[in-house]
Amino acid sequence: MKCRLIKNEICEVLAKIQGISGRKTNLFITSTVRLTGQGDGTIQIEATDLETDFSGIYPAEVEVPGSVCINAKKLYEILKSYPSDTILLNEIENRWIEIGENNLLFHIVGMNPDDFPEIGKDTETELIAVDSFQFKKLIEKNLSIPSQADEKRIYTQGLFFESHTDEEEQTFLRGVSTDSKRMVKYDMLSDHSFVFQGEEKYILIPKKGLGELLKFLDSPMPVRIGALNNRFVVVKESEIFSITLLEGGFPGYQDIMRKDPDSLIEFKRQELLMSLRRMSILSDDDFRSIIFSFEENKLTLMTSNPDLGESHEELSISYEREPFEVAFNPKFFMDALSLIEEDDAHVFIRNNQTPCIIKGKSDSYLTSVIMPIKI
Amino acid sequence: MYHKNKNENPPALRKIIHVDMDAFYAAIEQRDNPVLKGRPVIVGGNPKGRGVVATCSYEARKFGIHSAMSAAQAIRKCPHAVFIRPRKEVYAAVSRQIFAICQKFSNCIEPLSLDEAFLDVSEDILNLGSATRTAEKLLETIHKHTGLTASAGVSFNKFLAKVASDIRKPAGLTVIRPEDAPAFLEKLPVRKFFGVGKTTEKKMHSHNLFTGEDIKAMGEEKLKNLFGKAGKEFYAFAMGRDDRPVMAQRSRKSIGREVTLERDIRDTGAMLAILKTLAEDVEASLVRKKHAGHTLTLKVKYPDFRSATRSMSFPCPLWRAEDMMEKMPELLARTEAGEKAVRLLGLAISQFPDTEQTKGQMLLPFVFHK
Repeated sequence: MKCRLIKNEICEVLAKIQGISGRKTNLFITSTVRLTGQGDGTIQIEATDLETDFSGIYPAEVEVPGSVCINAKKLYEILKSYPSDTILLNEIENRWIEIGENNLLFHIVGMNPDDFPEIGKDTETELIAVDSFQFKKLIEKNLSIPSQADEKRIYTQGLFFESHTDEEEQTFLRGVSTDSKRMVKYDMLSDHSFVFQGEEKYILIPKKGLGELLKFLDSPMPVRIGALNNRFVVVKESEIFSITLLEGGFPGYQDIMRKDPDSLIEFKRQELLMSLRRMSILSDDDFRSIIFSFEENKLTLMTSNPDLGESHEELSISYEREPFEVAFNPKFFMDALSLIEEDDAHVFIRNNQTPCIIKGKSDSYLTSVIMPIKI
Repeated sequence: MYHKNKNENPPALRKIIHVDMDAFYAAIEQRDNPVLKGRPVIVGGNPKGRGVVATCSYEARKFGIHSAMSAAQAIRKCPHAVFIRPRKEVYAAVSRQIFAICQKFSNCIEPLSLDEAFLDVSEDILNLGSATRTAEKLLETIHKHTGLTASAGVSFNKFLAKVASDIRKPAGLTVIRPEDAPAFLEKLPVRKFFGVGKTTEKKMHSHNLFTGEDIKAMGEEKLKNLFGKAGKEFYAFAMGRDDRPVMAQRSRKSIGREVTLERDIRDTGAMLAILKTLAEDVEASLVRKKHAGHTLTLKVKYPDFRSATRSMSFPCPLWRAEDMMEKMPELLARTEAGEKAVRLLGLAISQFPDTEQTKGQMLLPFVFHK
């Protein structure tokens, strides 16, 4: 293989796939990218961590078609630091690859491109076009609850993705995530329903792969999404992103999201957020709770940390029910408030035993739920 | 009177798989070193010292070797056996691989050890149609990904699933359907019952209890008088009842160390000195894992291989060797150590407060669609 690459364009792609090729798998070759110079004057770049696959086609001057596999991290570093706009890549013999020319030359040992795993780039399925910006938002809001490495429950590792139509015949794509202590749901309007394969009514997409996908959702260009062979497929122009789906159930979340209108308390979002930030100064890993004490038209936030001391702050709110106390992990509460994109927050909180629902006053697309901490 | 609750709200029929790797450590050694294939392989302690057999290959089992037998005895039974020092990290890595596979088959997995687990497959998450099919597919997937064989038992409770997995080892699958359970249990030797070891077996035999049928015939009350709370369980098992759930979130149970002594010792002062070094090891481990536990357990094994454990619980979780050693003389005094020599000493800390629970974080009240 011999070709001339356009530095900026290829560098940009290599930067984005570092997360995929940087993940340890049991195949050493996944730390490489496969570059395939094609007869039509394009180069194909492929990367995989055996769960998340990426493949993209970019213009290049191809002199001799063929494939090479080069360590992704090193190739990126070489290209990034290379002092001219185009870079010559030339496979010489026995998988040795020369990068550069004239007075600057890297002599790199590659791996056998035939050993590179077969990756998902099949798009022979029904894809629907979605707004990139909205879709990115759906993922970002859901990734605010990260998956935990030591967590065994599969449903905490993925984003639950379904498609539904409301009474007004509007179609939504819905993402729901949970770590079993809290949950977030985000709906985006869509022109089309997602096309599931077979009998499926939802899919569970690993958050790991979605984190990598986010890097590619950086332009306003619409993307097309679909499901195929147990994979979630995203196509953006000449780039294909494909993630192996998680197999497993997802808990019934709808009942938990049901709001009791009598339990509504309205907050100035920013004010509550700032106050929680101040109160969490004294909370740490061992004492991670803030007590919310509700009295008539008053909320007192309190922290107490035997190692450090105590703090409290009073907020005036509109509240006329019975006084009660409830405790929350301040991080969960702040995360939920930060997702809201308007000034007023609606918090539905019945007592210190039941889920607390947090959402924007007018926004019905985003809903967060957090469970209290026992006092 | 003990039939009072029978048939009142019978619980929905569960589907449980017990999967157990065949000669796990030895099979990994044979897989990684083809020279060992077909030969008696023993993974465990030094046969010249006082170590014991951890696992042995099926070829070695033909010579009457089994796990927990002393390595010295094993080599007498089978002098041409290949002894291999355990590669714990490798086994742990393969174990992780196997549990990752199990997770594809069930949302509810209870690991019992590195090579054994219960899977609740009442919910057919892969839509394979039946628990039997799920078990077949599981064994097949494990073999495909690790090159190792496992055996599985499928039934409607944990006890029967576990007994079943042992029936067609290696690489076997046994299903005990609810309609077959009574006949199966009647013929089952008491030794196979959960909680029956050598001692209880003897006691049962002395009361003319040899099979499940005998247990059933004796009745719950009489069993309870003879065996206490366990008697009640034996009766339930014999009746095909075992409501123990598959506990998906079982976390680490204990951190401990034990050592088989170079030679038997009788001097309690020397025992305490050895226990102190073990306690320091346990402390280091606890600190590293940021754990502390409410219960301290001492284990001794006498020269006749009988062992005894004594524990003590504390309101405040323990992690310092010093605190463990403060109570050690008392625990040791509650054993026969000193009157008798000991060949093994061990101690462990258990009853870790669940981190999430200590912090009181509640979980969302999910309802799973079954």
